[in-house]
Amino acid sequence: MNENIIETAYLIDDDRIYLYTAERFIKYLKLCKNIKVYRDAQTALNQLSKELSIEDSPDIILLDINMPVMDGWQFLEEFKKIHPKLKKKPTIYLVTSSVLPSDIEKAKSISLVSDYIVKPVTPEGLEKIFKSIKNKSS
Amino acid sequence: MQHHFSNEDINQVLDVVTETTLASFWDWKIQEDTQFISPKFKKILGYENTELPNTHETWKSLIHPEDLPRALESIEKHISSKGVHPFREYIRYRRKDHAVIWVICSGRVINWGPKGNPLRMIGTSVDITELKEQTAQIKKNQKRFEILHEAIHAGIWDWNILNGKLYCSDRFYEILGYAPKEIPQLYNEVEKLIHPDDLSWVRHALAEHLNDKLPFSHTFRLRHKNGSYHWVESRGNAIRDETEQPLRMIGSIIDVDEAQKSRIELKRSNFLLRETARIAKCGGWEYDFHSKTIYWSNAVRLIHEVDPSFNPTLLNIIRFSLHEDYPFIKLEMTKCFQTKSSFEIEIPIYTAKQNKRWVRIYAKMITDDAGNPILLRGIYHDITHFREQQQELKSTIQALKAHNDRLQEFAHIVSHNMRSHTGNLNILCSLSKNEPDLLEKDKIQKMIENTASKLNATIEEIIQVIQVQAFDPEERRQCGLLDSFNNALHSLSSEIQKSPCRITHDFSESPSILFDKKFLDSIFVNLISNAIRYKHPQRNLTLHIESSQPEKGKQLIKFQDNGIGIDLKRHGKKVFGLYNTFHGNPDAHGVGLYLVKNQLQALGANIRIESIPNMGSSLIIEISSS
Repeated sequence: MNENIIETAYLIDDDRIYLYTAERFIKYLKLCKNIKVYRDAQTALNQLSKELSIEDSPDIILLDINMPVMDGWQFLEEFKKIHPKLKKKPTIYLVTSSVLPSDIEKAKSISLVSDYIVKPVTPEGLEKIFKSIKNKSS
Repeated sequence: MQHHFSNEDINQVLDVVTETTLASFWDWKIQEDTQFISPKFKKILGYENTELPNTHETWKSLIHPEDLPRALESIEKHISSKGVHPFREYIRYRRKDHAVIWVICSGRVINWGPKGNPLRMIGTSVDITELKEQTAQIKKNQKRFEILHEAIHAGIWDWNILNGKLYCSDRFYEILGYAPKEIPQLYNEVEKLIHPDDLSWVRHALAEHLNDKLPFSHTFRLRHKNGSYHWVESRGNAIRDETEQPLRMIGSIIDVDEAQKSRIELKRSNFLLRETARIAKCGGWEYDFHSKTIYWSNAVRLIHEVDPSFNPTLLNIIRFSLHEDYPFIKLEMTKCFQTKSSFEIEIPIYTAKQNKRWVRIYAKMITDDAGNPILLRGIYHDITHFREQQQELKSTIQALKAHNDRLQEFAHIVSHNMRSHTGNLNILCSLSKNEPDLLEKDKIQKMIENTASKLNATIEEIIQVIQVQAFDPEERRQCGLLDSFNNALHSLSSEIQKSPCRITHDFSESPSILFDKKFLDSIFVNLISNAIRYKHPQRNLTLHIESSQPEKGKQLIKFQDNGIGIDLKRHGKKVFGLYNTFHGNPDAHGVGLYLVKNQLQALGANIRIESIPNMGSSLIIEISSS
């Protein structure tokens, strides 16, 4: 096994700028091997529903709440259904610029969600998230 | 010339005297022990002349035993004083029928013996029973009078009009807290006690009695010794001479202070009660279980707007309330009857003049000792005003809360959108700074510019929304729908040209609305452009816009398209939210419908959506003129 145990990360967000910057930081800091970027939740969900190899299964999902067509909440509802079939259980972070107390409360009430991160996401913030997962797994 | 009476003459005179007066006489020859008692006197005592022997013993036996010693003693005194001490006594005699009569008995010894011993004594007996009885009656009346005045606690006054003296009884002084005769017994002194406000009319009333014989019976105030004024009731009557000139005036005073003060207090309470009831719109009512009658006070009649002749019965008063409330009223009444306690309901009524009012009806059951209901007694309270205020307050609070919620939501959403742009700018700037690759740096530069212009657009939208929130509904004008429709088509002409579509309208039923022209233009642009943006990819857009007036004071404008529609189960709550987009359409900003809803709400109108996915949507604007 590689010493870097985080192999795959999913970024799900409709904000192109955020996706670009986050991907750049993760690559630059070498936080994981593979980064998959989804501009809408439905496509990401479709991908997860397929029979994925361990390698392609995400270790971590950074999920936005406010998205058209399918928002973060709707994604989580669907994800719950396929979760038992997953070979690798990913850690999910909600990443959003919403500071609505109701959103924060709702996020905390969902057991699949590890934490709630308020944008903007800095390199330091990303490092912290990825390291906490590494620590948890080792 | 000397006139000599013969014995016969004297007897005749005596006969006349005894016949015509009540006087009768006796003649006691002491040594012979005979005492002639005149037949007249015997007759007074109920005896025939021959029935009684003429002896001293007879005379003594006729005298009441209680008075006999006194009579004999007096005769003894007369004799022992040799006639100096007169014999004259009020003596009671007993009649044959045992009745007692009063007699003035007087006599004198007319013949004396040589040793100064009495030989003959004659005397008269005058029946004064009637007089005595009258005197007794007078005394009795006087006593009765005194008792009566004592009983009613009356003070007596007796005014000598000629000399100004005014006698006052002890009680008169007592009523005013003085010792007897503490105030000089003069009219002028007593008059000083009359309350200044009463003085002139009391004087006037006295004058009217004395001059015009109007009855004097009045209630006025007299100063008590402690300085306070006491209410007294005084009655009086003048005694006049033969020329009807008043000589004296005698009267009484009764202390009516407490009664009068209670009367004044009662009057005041009644006034307060009536006024309070009038202001509070509150009246009393009663139901009598025995006579099965209902009593309504005037205030209750006023509440129901019925005239004073209206006769409330159980059957006709129930008709003031709404039919749907009957079961509720019946239930509450039954509960009250069963528990024999009270009931309280708040219901709407329609008055005789068909005005809607809210009343609170309260009643308490009054039972006899055995617990049987006698009366249901309570109040009717017109609470329309409170209800209206409550309603107004409720809707004001609701409006404020809605406004507040909107503002809060707005603040959060705005901060969300601004934050995402500013956050991105921040990150992009720090990336650009450390980017060695020029091509990459150029790419980042483009992103910065793009984000900056999005931020700018967001701020513009926010300004637009704020302008809507700050709109004053007073500035509404009648706006023609066709005008705004044409303006919208004009400003959307390039979009319309890009894709073939059929946009129709019918504003004939309701051609204009009370609105703001700018907002109406903007609403038409937003809703038409929305329909174009979300047209179904497999067919051309048809959009029909129609206005209608389904009822008085209500107007509808309907935008009906055949576009892609929206899954309302999924997105229904968010359709009109800010920055909510549902279709992943790159042109969507999530501002249009939010703005439309805010513009409508600022003017007291509303919008709702009906939609079937893949079939189309109807956006319905509802304007209430109230």
